[in-house]
Amino acid sequence: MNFFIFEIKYWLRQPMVYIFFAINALLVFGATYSDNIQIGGSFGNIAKNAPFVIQKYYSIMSFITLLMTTSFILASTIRDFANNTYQILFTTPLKRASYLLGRFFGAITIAVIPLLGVSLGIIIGCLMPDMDPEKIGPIYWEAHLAAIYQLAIPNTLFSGAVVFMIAALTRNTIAAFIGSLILLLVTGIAGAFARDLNQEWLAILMDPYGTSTFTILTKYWTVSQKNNLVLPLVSLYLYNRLLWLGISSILVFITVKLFSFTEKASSPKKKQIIDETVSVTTHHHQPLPAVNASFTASATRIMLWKRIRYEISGIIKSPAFIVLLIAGLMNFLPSLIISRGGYGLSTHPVTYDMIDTINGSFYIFLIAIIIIYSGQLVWRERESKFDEIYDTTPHPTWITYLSKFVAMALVIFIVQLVCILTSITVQLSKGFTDIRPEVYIDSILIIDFSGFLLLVVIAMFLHSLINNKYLAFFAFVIFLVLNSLIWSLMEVESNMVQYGSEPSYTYSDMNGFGPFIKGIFWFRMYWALFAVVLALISIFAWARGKELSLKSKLGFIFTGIRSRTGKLVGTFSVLWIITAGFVYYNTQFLNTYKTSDEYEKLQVFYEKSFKKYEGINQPRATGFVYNIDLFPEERRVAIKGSYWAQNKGTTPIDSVHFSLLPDFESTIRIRGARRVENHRDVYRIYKLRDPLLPGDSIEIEFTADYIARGFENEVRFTSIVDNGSFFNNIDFTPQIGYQPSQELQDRDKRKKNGLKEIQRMPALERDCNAHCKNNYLSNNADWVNVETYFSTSGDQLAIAPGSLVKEWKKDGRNYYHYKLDHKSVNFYSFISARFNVLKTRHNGIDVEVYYDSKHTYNIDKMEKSMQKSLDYYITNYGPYYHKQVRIIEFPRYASFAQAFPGTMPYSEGIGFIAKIEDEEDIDMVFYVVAHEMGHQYWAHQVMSAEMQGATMLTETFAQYSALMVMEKEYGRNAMKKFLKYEMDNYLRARGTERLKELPLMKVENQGYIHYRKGSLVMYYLREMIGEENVNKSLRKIITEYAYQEPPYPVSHVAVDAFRENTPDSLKYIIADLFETITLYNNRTKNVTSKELKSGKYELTIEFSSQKFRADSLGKETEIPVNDWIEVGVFGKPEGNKKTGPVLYRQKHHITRTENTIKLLLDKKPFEAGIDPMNLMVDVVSDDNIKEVVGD
Amino acid sequence: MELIINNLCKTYPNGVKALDDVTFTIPTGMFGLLGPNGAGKSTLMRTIATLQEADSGSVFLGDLNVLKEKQKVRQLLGYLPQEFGVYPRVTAFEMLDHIAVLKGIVNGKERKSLVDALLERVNLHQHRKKSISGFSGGMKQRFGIAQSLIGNPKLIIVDEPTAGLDPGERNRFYNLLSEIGEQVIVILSTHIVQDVRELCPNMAIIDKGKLLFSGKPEAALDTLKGKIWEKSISKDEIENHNKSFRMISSKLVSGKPLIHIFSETDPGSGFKQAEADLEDVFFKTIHA
Repeated sequence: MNFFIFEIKYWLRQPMVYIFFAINALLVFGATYSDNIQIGGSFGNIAKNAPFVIQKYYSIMSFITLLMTTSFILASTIRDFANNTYQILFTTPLKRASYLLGRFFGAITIAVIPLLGVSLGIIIGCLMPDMDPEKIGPIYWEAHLAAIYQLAIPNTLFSGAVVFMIAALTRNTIAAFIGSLILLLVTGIAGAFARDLNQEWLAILMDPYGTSTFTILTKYWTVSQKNNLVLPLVSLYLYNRLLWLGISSILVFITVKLFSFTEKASSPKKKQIIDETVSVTTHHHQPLPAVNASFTASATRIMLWKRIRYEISGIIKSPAFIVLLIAGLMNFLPSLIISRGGYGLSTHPVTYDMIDTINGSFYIFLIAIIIIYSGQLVWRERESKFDEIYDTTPHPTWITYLSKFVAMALVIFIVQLVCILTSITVQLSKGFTDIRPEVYIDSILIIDFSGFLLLVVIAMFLHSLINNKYLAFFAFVIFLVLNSLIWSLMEVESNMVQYGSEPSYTYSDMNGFGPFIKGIFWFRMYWALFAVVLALISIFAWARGKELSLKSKLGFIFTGIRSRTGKLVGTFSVLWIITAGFVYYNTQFLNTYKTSDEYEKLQVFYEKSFKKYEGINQPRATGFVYNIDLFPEERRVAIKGSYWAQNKGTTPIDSVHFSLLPDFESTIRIRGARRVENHRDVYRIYKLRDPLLPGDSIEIEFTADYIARGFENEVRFTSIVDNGSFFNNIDFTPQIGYQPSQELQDRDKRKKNGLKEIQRMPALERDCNAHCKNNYLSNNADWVNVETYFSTSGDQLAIAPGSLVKEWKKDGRNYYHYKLDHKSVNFYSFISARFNVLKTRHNGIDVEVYYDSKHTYNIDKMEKSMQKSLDYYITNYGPYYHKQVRIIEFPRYASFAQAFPGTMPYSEGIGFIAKIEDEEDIDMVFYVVAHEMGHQYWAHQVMSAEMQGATMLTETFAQYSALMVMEKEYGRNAMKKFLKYEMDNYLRARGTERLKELPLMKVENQGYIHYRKGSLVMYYLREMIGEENVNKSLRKIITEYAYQEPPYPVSHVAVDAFRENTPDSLKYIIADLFETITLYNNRTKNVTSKELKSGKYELTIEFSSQKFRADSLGKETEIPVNDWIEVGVFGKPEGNKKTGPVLYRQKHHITRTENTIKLLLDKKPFEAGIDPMNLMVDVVSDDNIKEVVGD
Repeated sequence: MELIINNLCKTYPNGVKALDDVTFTIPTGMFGLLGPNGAGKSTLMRTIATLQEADSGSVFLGDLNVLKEKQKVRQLLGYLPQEFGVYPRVTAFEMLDHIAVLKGIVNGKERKSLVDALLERVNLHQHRKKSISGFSGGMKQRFGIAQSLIGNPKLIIVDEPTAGLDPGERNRFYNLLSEIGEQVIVILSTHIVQDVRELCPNMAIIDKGKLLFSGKPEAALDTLKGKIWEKSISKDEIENHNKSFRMISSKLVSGKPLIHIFSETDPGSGFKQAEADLEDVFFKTIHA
């Protein structure tokens, strides 16, 4: 007890506890007050001080503060050893347990205090006067309290126990810090396992900090639950906490047992004092052999090389290095082996994915190695007290610097090589042979490596200038943090100010490092020259001898610069300044860039000045002719376009308005019109000589040019590249009229700029005319004809919408003439690359895949999916009007697939490298293609009005289409698995909704509703009313609305059609599925079976069924059940299958919460339950089936 | 060659005057620099060893300006600091080899034979493959001497080399030092009088940054000849005697204090004349 109180008093006198408290409070305050700072991601629409937020912050912060806890425990545990007071202390007769435990619990108590900063940060954050009052709830003291006893205290105890053990047993600071570092990572890995749904319970128990536990247990919480509920300490959460409290106690117990009061009894390396037995005779020795000391250039080279070898062996033999390397590989290997895409899928281990993994899970260790060893090396002589001998030997000082620098460089290089070799081994072991050593070399051994060297230089600079190792370490870490944060906070985005930065880049198999190379090279050069100057100054300031004060170091630097070698500083400074000029010229003159702030201002200007023109009568485009000349190797495109636009309104038009986009330089020409206004090249107005009368058309001509000049600060426009140019008409065509899509979208930024809150979508109207003139893709065109003349370099293939009319070669370039076979939505793409083509003809339609020669893995699947989709859609929906369907690969600068008329560009980063091997895997490639094919009807034949529910007619129906095609191909069981992911995704996403959740028919372009819930809804509808009834309804919509001029259809059209085709007894489901947010909780409680004398089985199923309606924030109200719900019974699964044969499947009319059903079966039942396929939106979906209990 | 120190001054930022106008000359051969702990010996040693700057004054090694032409001095220098360590996990051979490289001996063959010979001379050859961190104090100091001898130094500085050595180790160490050629300057800084007595034909005494004596030990002894008196007294008499006489030292002999006093004439009161030794010189000088 004495020790406990002593410890607490001791720490309360130290500044550390208060500083840590302040840091935490400040961090959480920042996250509460500003949306730019996030801890554990964005919380969407929930209150800033919601109980959920409080618990989440505590769970994350108690993990982050591990290093703080380490500092306290470590200091307390080894203080007596560091101060050598142990010799005094331990001779006094005291109980080891009370000594150790007193120290330990004292330090733990203190270590909890900084965490309380979380509460303070949240509370103060919410008191700020300019906080949005909508985002503040009442103070939930019980949430703070719960977070402290559930998370803060047990987590600190656990961290403390681990550090205590390491510190007490090794009495070594570095060991303890590395121990806690490893703890951080191991916990991270446990979290990664949680991603796979089936190992969830394991992840729940395995996380020592309860962070994953908390996240998993609250994953389906709605906004309203997050705002009002405190996660109680029950079931799995309780077990997790108890488990880790238990482990902590065991660790403490073991430590106390093992800890010995004799001086370092359990030291790992026992010092062996050499016994000298030989007596020294005093006979006269031979004179020492004559040697030559030499300081010529070649001698210094040898000296340098010897030094380098020495320094390297100093690093790689040190235990901390080995531990870090192994920990790094341990963290890195699992992520390397499990490369996951969506729906539990893996991708082919392509080289750039391996590199991303090295980057994501190993580099943090490499940076730790750099932080530790660039310092450790500088201090090596002084730490080992070898410095006085070393410094008086007649070696040149620069050799010391250079040998340490090169040693560090080589160690980094070796570690990177280890990473690469590990990656290649993993690739080969997965049977993947398309390994690209040059990509490893370029990205890891050149770009990343040179970046690390820049870090080493600055670290060594700080260590040579600051004469306190820990201060220098601290300064370096602060530097790293500031360097990565401060510039963006100051809204300076130039890579010329952030030390060592370069334009961010993406490697693409199609396009290599493409447009990024130049910028990376010059920025690296710029920083490298700067680093050379720093290095020279470091050499001047190098601690040789005992004059180590900053003042004398500055003096040395001054003398150094004036010396002969000082001329080098001048030379490199001049080179640096010249490079700076060149970089500045390229990034600020040849290319201008807008900071996000400037861009924001421009958007505000656009909206404030021109919003008044929104909706005025403007001509609408009817047909386009494009002449596109693409020069991929120059990253240049010259486009001439002309189109006819018709006054479809009722009033004459006297001037035409255009909105311009920044990437292209454009000119516009209208015969007889003159430009009357031009605002900062974002908005132009042309006055017509004669007003355009209703029904009349005018021709508009324009040019649009893009030329890449020099290099940019950040490569802005990756649509025009050497191989894989991919741009669409919206990118370059001056758009008629005001475009709301160019407005500032971010809710908080709008508020800051005094703009009105944006309405996501206009409210749904039933019989809509005036408000349904525009579809949701375009407000200035309806169905258009398109003709394209497209030229590109001689080795590339260019693709534009429609059928290829003609192709020819001229002057070594390829020319193509394409023409749409049927008018389409005014949204289409132009692509050019060195393609291979897979082409088949299917029922008179060309089915084509344009792919990069490296990515042949899935092209057959794509082809098949297109064919199957065409079959299903033509049979069930109606004719397909284009003469071709195309899938076209594009570089992974974006990762999506998109449907344009007859064309579906598909990123190389997703489907082309997806790996579908297992029979049980969901065929993602097949599914995505079928979905995009679905859009050929649902978007490109039936286009919906810009209004709530718009995407239900396109995305949801494309999703339904894909489900049907997939089910035909892969069967019902595959669908169950797919829908499970959809359900999980939907339930999770609704809890992070930023504004409000809406029923499907009013969806406001919310992906989790129109895709995820859409799948569930449509599949359930199909189950209830049958495929033919659904398709009959869809056919009706197509017949009525395909390629129709405005007004465009709204979601009522579909809901009405479904209702019409639904029998009266089931009509309730239409409201449940489309018009409301309805959820269920179906649960099978007991299943018993009895074998009857007749050989039949009597099965009793007890289950409960609840039905809820949720409001837009997820607040649920229970409503009576009156539903037809499926009851299913399965036999024992054969072999290693997961589900057995269906013995019984029937819908029952359920009207009560608690139910019991008796069935008579012919075969022995194994499992049974309610809604066994999980077709209803069920908040707890894994308790629908239970195994049969019986005789 | 001589090492000439002129008006050397050094004041630390905390105000401590480590060297206060020190002037003397060190001839070739073994030179003892005697002074109590904190006298400024190490500052002087480090200044000569190019590790520290002086505020004013000069140091010349022959024609070489030690304070300016550091790199040239280092080529002539062998230095054994008061306290030194080596890299962890490195053997005696590796370490000597490495220092030899740093001293410009880049020819591998030459270096190996030199290192072997040095290890032989300091009697560490059989331990050459052992880690220095496992060495005893005496072995470590002998290693220190070995490294200072690399590269034919003309100036060897050994700072407090015998502190903490047991008598046997100290003797071995003396033997070693005495074998260093007479043609080089060896500065032995120490607070142990015996070191100087055994080894040094020339010496200096400094205290509190000031030079108190410089010359041959015999000359110093001569000044005290017949003026040192000793007496065995009881403990409670010490204070009394300290007031009445110029007491130089007091040490316990069989549990009773034996005091030495300085007196030009016979002080009477039971004092016997004693043979003046260097210790008396030392204490007399620093208590003056």
